[in-house]
Amino acid sequence: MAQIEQFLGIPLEKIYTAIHETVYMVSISLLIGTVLAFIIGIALVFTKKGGLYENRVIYTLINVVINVIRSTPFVVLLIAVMPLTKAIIGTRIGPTAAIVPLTIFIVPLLSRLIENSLLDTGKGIYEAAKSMGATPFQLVFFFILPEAKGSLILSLTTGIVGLIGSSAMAGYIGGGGIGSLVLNYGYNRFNFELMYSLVLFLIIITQIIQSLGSSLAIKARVNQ
Amino acid sequence: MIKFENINKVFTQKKNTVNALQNINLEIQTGDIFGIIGFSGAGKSTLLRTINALEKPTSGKVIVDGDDIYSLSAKELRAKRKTIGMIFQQFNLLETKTVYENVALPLKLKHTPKNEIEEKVNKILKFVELEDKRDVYPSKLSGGQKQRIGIARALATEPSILLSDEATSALDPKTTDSILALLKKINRELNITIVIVTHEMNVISSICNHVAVMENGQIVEQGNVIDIFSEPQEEITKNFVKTVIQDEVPELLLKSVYEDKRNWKLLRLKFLSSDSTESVIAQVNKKFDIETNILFANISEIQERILGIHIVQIVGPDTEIAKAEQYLTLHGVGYKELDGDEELLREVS
Repeated sequence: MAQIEQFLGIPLEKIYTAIHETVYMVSISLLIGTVLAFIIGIALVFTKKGGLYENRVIYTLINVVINVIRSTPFVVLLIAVMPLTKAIIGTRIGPTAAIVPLTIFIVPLLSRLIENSLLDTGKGIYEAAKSMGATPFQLVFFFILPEAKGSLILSLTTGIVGLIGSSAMAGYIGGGGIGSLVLNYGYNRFNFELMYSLVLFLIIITQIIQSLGSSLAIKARVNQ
Repeated sequence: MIKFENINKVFTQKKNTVNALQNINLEIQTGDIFGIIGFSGAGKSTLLRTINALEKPTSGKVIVDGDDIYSLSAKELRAKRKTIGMIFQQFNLLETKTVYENVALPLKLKHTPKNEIEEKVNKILKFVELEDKRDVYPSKLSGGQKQRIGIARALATEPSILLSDEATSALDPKTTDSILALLKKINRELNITIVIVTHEMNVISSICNHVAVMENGQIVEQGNVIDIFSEPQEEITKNFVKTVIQDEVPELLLKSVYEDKRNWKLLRLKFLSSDSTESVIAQVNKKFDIETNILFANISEIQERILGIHIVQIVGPDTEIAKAEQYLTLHGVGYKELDGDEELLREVS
């Protein structure tokens, strides 16, 4: 242990705390983001041209907002939403504060991914559901979501990977987590052992999540 | 009873408007197996979908068992749809669910208790003869088996009407026959009215009682299947009938007939009974001073009756031929002289 600490140049507790903060930021923003993204994704599919509740105004509105947020670089977004963060959380710094920009970042990305996954469900399934007298709620939960399961798992995996990357960037504005450790203790102090070790750690975590997601998706699709 | 009143449907795509359905008036009796035939784009699937409001007509009414479909509230319509089962060309089964779960789904939507679902699904799977596939996923099934599951799913809510949209079009002939036999069984044993949309005339001839022929969004001909088969009026109907009863005399044979120097007449005979068709012709030969030459003969079973179509050359003096014709009429054989038939003559001259 002591040897590892000596190699990295910081106490291991700091790393544990950072990991804890990253997990906290990512999981909370993923949770809120997924719920919102599902609602928006389903709204997109329903209001799309030829959709069940075709509505050009709503569709275009959501579309524009998604595109605006998605084309804003995350660093800019981080700073731009600071007043909002202050209003909601009460502070601009710390892992809890980082949840706000992270959620705003992940919702449009996930919404788009979920929209694409749901569009894979063929029109025939909609017709079958309607012919059975399914309510819109039943249509979503008994037909569309189960049929898109494999594709949805892949979308969520992409979302998590994106979030981990962005959460590291949140360290830039004092968001805490592994990102700020890399920046403040690694890069700024020329502690390259620490910097590269943490980057390697992030790469491994990302790999594990991606493989896990892919194999779960395959499992979900095995019967198709 | 299903009643269509002045149904019109206009599709607008950018600047083009397509009249998918024009002035459709039609009645389908309870307990019937009613076929709607036409080529793709004729509007038959659109018409079928107006019954359960998957496709809303631009104007007109559809009345199903006394309910005006388009004046129902959303909730009432959902309840109504549960009494109308539907099966599709592409089956539309949920790939992520087992056979059992697929069939159970409509019951789950109705909040049926679990043990009741179990009991019903097992019963239906037995009815469609696929109880051994209970826990299999649809991807492991053949086309015919998938359609049986589609049918089982449609029957789960015990509907009074079953809509079939090209349900056999993706299947091979043998499988088609077994699915048609199943539909017939459903009609008989469960007393369910069936409306079938198809482009295959053999589907109509094997199970339907009534048929409507559609072309360009209109019903051009309709009636009893056996009448339509024996006396098709419209060109399109004749073409459809020809796919089942190929009543064309080979050209070579026809040529030899026209070269015949004796006095003769070409008759198209229609036998409509289970009696032996042979004996009538034999009797005609015996009783009158004529000679018959059968150029074409077809016997098919339609609606459990025998429909025989023969094309016969009768040789002899006019007076004897007239007597023979009288005899045929007396014995319930319809005939039509083909002498002036343009189609026949065109090929020879």
